[in-house]
Amino acid sequence: MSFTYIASAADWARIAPELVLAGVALLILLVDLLLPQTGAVPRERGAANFFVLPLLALLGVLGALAATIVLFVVGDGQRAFFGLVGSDWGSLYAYLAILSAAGLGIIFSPAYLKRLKLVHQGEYYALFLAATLGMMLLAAATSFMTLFLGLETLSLALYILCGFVTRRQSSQEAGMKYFLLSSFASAFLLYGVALIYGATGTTRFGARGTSAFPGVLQFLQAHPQSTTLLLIGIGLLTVGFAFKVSAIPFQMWTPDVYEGAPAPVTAFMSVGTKAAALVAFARVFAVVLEPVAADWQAVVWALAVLTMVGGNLLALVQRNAKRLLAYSSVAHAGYLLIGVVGGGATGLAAILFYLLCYAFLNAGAFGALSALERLDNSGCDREDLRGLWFRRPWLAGFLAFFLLGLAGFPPMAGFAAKYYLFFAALQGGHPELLLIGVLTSVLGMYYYLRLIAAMFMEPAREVQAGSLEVTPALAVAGAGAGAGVAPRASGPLGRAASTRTGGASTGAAVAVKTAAQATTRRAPEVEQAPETREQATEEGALAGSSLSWTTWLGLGLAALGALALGTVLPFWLVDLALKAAATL
Amino acid sequence: MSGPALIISFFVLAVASVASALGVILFRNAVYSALSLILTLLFLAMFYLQLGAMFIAIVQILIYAGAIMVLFLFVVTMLAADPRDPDLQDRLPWQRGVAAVLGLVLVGALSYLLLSGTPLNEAARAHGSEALSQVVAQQGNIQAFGQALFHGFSFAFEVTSLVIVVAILGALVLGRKA
Repeated sequence: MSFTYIASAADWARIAPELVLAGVALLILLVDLLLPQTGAVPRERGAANFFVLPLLALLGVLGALAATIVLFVVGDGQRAFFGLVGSDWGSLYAYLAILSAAGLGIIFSPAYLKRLKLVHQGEYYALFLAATLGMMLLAAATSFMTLFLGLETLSLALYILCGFVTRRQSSQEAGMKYFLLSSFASAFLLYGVALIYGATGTTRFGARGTSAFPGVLQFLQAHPQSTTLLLIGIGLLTVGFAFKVSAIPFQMWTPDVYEGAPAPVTAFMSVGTKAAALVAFARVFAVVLEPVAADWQAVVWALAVLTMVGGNLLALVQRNAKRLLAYSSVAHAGYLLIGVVGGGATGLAAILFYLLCYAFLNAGAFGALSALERLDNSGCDREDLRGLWFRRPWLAGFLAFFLLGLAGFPPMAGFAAKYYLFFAALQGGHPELLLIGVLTSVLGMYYYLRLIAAMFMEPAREVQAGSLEVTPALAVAGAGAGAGVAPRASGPLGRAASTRTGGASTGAAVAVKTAAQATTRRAPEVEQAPETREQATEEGALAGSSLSWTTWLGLGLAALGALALGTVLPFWLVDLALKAAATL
Repeated sequence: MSGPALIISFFVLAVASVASALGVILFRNAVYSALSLILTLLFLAMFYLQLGAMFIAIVQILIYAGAIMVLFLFVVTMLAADPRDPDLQDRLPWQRGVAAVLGLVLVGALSYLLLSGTPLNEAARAHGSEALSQVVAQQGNIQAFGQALFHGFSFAFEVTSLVIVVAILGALVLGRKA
């Protein structure tokens, strides 16, 4: 084959959504440079950072969304650029989920960034859009080349976004951890790609039903017996993909990264990465490697079962809401893998539809948490959420709404999505997966509901300020009483405690011991006490400030989307997903 | 190159590259290790030359032996660590045993694959839609690579530029003083 290839206008039109995003990302960097940043107006206050840049980024996402819809209507669905990138309905459907998550993440950002007093937002939004672009390339990849490049684009941008809060150690840790582990996984994937190239002689996927750009699919159809090289390649590829969709046993990074990263970034990456990686996973395995399905199906089956069971079990024991959601996202990856195992048009359509529903639900849940998170990354423990309903009823209501949706209760999108996915398991001839999926979903309901119960039914802990001031006194009392000099050393409260326990030395010792235990348990809180209080007042001030309307807008949009997907649109969207899946 | 010349040069290169690779892990001084890594990469480049892969040989020298190793040396010299530092003591001694076993497994598996003659693989070569070998035969290695890069894979090439922009942005964000 000779290389007389010229990019045509039609090729560029087929990747219009990506082009819009790339253009706007570069534009943001330029605009950031030109915005008036006089010394008198600190950057963290100016309207520029909190109005122009997010608006521009949002316009970019909306433009890409519009381009996607135009492509749905008038696009020819052909492969672009010599079979390197697809513009089929399957890719476009994945774009919808990715762009929804990106849009919601951007809407949640300004209020959060303002609270954390982060400057340099030009880079933030540019990287946000670059990550979105990478996800879209990954989802639309029809060649291992594009697949790897998309993966790298999104990963690089996300490493930096995760570590963006430079003053917060957990954020730095998240960025670093994600970087190291994810690079390792990328190396696995790349090695697998190289071996598959060695075994088949091509990096293109090849489309079903046409011989326009022959690729791996055509090779495997012609030579369905798998060589050792191909098997090793598929194995390494599985590792790389399983890491990206955070399937067990490759999930270790997920909770730490989701917890440490800025909450709007988590809202975006938890959905976007999953959507892109799963669509690519499904395309590579259930379509391109379909002729050798017997070789990989058992492995992916085991991954799905492990991930469903393990993710839900690990989520049960989490006390931090962000970590809980991280493990629940692991569990959701398990449900989604059912679609890959089941395969066929139904399985792929179920994945696409589930991802779209999941985008709104999970982004909404993390968005609600973003309004609670403080600079030192506290504020999302179950203790902090307790009684939220009495303090901030709307926020608690939204969070409960999204959690119920994730658990799969009917009026929200989660139910329709899960229903369809389990139906696909049955259709694909895997009733055991249906059974495991339903059982683990019931298990999942427990921890979602427990969090909701904590917000609505348990009274808030007594105002922290008071109790926190008490504890140091108690600590002194404990230490002093142990040495037998309690009354002299302790403050007023310690004296009260020792009078209460009376002079009986044994009783005092016991009481002091419990007090000492209590203080050691609370020691970290004590250290943070001044800052926490400052943050609390700041948060209170912010609740009434003009900026948090963006958060409400984001939450409202996510809730609306989740509700619409669950009630009005599911039949139409599932139909669309079925048609889209046939083109993957 | 063919016949005895090929065999002799292969064995000379093989011994030299293994020796320099051993140097990487056996030298106590990090700078020596880095320098013998450069040497190893140069020998690898010569292997490529021997196989007629002109372009990869040059890229190997330019990128690995040149750019990446210079970076390594910068880091090593700027963060010069004292070998007597207790933090640098081996905290996971069992790792060595595991690494040795896994290394043996890898060598065994690879030799098994090579010796059992896994078809590497005529069908794949015949099928290859890129069919670069024809272009290589007609025009040579570097021309074939250039054609693939700027014609067939121009899209991937363009996307790579975007990846680099993201990487530069990242360096900017992480390197800036808060």
